Amino acid sequence: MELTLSYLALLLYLAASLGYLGSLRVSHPKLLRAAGILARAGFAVHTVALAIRLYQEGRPPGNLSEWLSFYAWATVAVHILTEVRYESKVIGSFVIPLVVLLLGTSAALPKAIESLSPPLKNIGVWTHVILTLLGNAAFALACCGALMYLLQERQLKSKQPGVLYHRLPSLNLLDNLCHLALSLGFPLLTLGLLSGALLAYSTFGSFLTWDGKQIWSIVTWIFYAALLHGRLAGGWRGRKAAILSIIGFCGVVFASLGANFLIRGTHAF
Amino acid sequence: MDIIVLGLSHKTAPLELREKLHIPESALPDELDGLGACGQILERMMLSTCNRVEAYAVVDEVEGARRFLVEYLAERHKLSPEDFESSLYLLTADQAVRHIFRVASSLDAMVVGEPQILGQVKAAYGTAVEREATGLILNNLMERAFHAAKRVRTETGIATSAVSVSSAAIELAKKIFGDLKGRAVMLIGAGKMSELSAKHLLAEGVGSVIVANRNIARAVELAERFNGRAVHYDAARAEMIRVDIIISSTGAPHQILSKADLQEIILQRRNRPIFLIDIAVPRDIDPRANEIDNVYLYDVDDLQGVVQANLRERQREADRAESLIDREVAQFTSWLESLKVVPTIIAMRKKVESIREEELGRVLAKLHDLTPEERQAISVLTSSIVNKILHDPMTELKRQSALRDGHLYVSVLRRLFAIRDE
Repeated sequence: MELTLSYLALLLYLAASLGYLGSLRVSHPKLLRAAGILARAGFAVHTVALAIRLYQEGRPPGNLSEWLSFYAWATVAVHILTEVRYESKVIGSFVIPLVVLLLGTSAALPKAIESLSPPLKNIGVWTHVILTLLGNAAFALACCGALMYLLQERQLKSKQPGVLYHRLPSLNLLDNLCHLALSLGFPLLTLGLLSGALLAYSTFGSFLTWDGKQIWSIVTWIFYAALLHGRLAGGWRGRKAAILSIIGFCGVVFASLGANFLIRGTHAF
Repeated sequence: MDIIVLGLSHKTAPLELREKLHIPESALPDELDGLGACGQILERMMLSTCNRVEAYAVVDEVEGARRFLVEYLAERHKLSPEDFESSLYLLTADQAVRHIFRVASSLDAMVVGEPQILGQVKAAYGTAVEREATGLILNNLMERAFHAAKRVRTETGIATSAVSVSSAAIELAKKIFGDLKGRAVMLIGAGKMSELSAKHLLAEGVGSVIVANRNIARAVELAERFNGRAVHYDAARAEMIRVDIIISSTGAPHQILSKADLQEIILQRRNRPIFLIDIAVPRDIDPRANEIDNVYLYDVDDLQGVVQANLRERQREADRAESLIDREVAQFTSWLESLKVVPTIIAMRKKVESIREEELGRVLAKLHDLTPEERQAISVLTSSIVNKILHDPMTELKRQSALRDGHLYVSVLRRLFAIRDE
């Protein structure tokens, strides 16, 4: 049941992506609206699927596949909020395909769970997981905003505006979006890492167990700290800040997917 | 009965000729009444804009109506038919419908997508309705045309991009800053061009205007007009750290802002973006300044390039609009087809026959004791009742169809008996 719902959500996101991408090519408000409705429908189904899973299992995501599904969900949630905030639907043309990628990967990965040690089924794990999830979702949004910024900037600099020039929002809006997403994501990630460290201390007796994910997350955190500081204090904005946001997100993706395969440790995935 | 379009436009006739045939708004009712004298023309309207003069009509016989129209136009405008006949186009049936839809949707316009034409068509139609010059077919045709125009406007981006230099500059500013409300603009040089640009920007809600000029008296005069502030040319540099948009149009023979200048300015602005419009010839600002991050520099040629690109974008959207028009035309012609008598009679008979069979079946199913002969008799009875009822209206319909208002009878009959268009 819950798996069927997950596939249905994936299908709805996929349809929404096609609509969103199509409306990048041709200006068609109905298509864009339809894509928005499909994405919300996908989100609703996805929410039900995750709720069923939570109710049945009563534990946080236990493998990479589950984590990615939660990640995709959080990204859509953050996206819907920004769509309302900025009254710009075009952002979906970049976010929703990314969501399809995340959820698609989730569906393709093995579903088996290495049994979770009992001490990990507590509120501490929940806090840690939810905070890092939301933080990373905000960074995903910042990355999409940055990508759109770079595309629009190139249109304006080239002086030969094409289709994207008309479809994409203003540089100002995109830069604001990136800034907002970073200033939300960073404190969430910070708290997420802190709660993780406390959790590690209570479970393993040490704040840091030096597994790949921890190390890489700290690297990412330092990177985002520098970027945010540069934006706030150094007046970094525009193209360079956008490129850094994209690099930062690559770090997030690596921390989520790759770091653990290099050095296995206390993170099950 | 045919729908025709007879007229000329910017595509077939020079302005000189269009001027001569132009019908002023005040003369339009009179002109329409005059056309009513022609027995061949059943419904009519005239459209006269600076780009076209066209008559839309429902006629009995095309060639006769055409001859009448040409002579009528010649007489009213004191021309001889030879003066303009070679510029005229005559379109009939589907082609006429498509043309009318395309005109209303601004696809046939000189600047594709320009919005005025729809209003002009609506006004022309309004006048025709007032003079009672239209009827069932033209009314429906124009309603479908307005519907098609609305769809083209909302479902394609045909009118969304800027196609003049000044609107292209505004569009660019909006793509950089989003809302222009509260933004500050500086004019360097106080010529006519910069005044015009400032006017456009103020209309978009720009907050403050600063005018910098060598001749401070002229700067003050211009600044007062925009409720702005005048600064001496030498103080302009300090203001550049604050403003968002600079329009430069000095008559200086050399560059007044180098790339290095702007590098310094952008640093002092802490990378806040700046939009520079250089409309001076020779140029005031080093074109290489555009390479600096957060500096967007456009000269007159660049703006012209944006206009060209936007026109191409409009053309792409117009191509999509054409397929939308195709569907609308098909829908209208199928309605027109339904007004023909023979298919209506067939549909009518089919409907009545199916009611008869259904009711007969229901009753016979309840009456078990009847002999086959009795059943046969009841069936024949119902048939003859139905046929007798249908006989008079069908005969009258056939008779009317040979006359000029036949389609009205068909239309009413279809409405009364709820016969759908197929």
